[in-house]
Amino acid sequence: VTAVVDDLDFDTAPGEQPAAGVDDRVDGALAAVAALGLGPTLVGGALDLTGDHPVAAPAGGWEPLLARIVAEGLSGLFLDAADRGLVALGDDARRELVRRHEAVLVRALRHEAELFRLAPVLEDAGAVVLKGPGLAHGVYAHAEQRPFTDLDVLVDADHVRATVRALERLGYERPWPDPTPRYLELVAKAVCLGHPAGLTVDLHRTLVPGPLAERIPTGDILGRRTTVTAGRLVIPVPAWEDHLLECALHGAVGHGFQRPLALRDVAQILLAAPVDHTRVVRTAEQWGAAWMLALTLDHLVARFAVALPAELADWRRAFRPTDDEAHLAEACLGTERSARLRMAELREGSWRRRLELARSLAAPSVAFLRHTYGSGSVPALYAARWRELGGRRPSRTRPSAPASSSARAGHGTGAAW
Amino acid sequence: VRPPLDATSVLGPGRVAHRRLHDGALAVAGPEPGGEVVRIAGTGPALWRALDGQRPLGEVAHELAVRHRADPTVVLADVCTTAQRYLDLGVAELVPPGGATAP
Repeated sequence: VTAVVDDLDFDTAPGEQPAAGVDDRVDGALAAVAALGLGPTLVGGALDLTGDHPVAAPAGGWEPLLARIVAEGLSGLFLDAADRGLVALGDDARRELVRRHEAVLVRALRHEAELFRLAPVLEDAGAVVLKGPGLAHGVYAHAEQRPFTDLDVLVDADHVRATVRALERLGYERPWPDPTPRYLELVAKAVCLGHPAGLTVDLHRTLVPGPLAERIPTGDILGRRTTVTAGRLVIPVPAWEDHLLECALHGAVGHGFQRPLALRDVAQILLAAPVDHTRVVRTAEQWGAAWMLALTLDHLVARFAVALPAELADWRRAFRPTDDEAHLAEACLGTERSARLRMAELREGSWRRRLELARSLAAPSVAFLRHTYGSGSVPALYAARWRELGGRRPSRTRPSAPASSSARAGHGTGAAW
Repeated sequence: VRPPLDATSVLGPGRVAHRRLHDGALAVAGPEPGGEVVRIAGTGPALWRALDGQRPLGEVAHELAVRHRADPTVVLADVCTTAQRYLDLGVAELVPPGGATAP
């Protein structure tokens, strides 16, 4: 079941595998960097940021850690720590980090500038921009602390196809054809479009893949949208309560709590945005995402030493997941979560979506088969597909539809933030 | 052809995305994808931030001259030259007399 068309947006870096368990997933040193400025406890791995003296280079020098810090989108936070004297980077390491950080900023800037051009498209679709630029300008102390590598846009399922067409008119391209006619509207969490200028738009119709998505009313999120202003740019974003839950789901379902920046996003909204905590809980319960929220809060306390607002802390203490929530969390957070989620997608939820998904797996369009398996007779292409479904790797001339946005659109961006 | 900038010219921020650097700022103008990345360094960021769509360049130059204890005439000439460069790069826009920066 893992070897199927996979539009799940896990944003997982190539080769990265989720570790077992929930509590040991966040790399200690990266978590310490991601927690900078949030709380008093900043110890992780080889990095102890609690002392009075600047932290010296870890064994092996700065390079391995800096590479991971940049790859995880934490270079802005780390540079701030160096500027505040928490870290003794040294001139060479600092220069190198600044160089890489600027490259990260340029990528974010190119995407952010594109929002001027996309504004009419977003307006027509009643869309919101998730994460990246809205968080950078809305809740982070400095936008430089929150880089991003693509634009995540949420539209209602009814608008997704028209929005794809509007983006195509602006020069965006889809990396592969739909496997089934209603795949975009019913199955795909998002469709990724790439622009030859190196820009990527992840166009979402919902926040998470699978049956959980059916309980999340995209229309309500869009109806509650607000804006964040950055100079002359006005960015439509979800209401902060919705955005907090989106970030929590992204960190939990998307990254299995492995991505420190995703947790930092939740903490940053919690601490910096005008959030109605009662509404957060009520919405999480409505979405069937209360257990994901509870686990996220646990991570914020355990990893980032975040002092939760009393209302949320009380709710967390009293909260117990239902069997359904626990089951779904197991699918999302366990090892082989992609396969588990796919199985959950096939077993649960609306018949229309499940039929469309089953059809996309067993009888996708010929155009999709040709894109995925290369040239050949139609019977041979279907045979390749079914062999793959059966767990045998087919011989093919092209890679299968990629499972992560890092490979999508042919832009090879690494993990998206 | 635009007339040259002078002390009465008013400039506002362009449709740009920008980020702070330790020694300046990075900006990308928005109209076209893959636009040029502009590095603003030295005294450039101070001037760029001062282009608020309200104050004429003469007033901005006077403020900079006082801050840097420099010859106001020289500063005004430098400000007009640099502001022209910002216009050319799309990171600033000229505000018509009596107008405000377009949203």
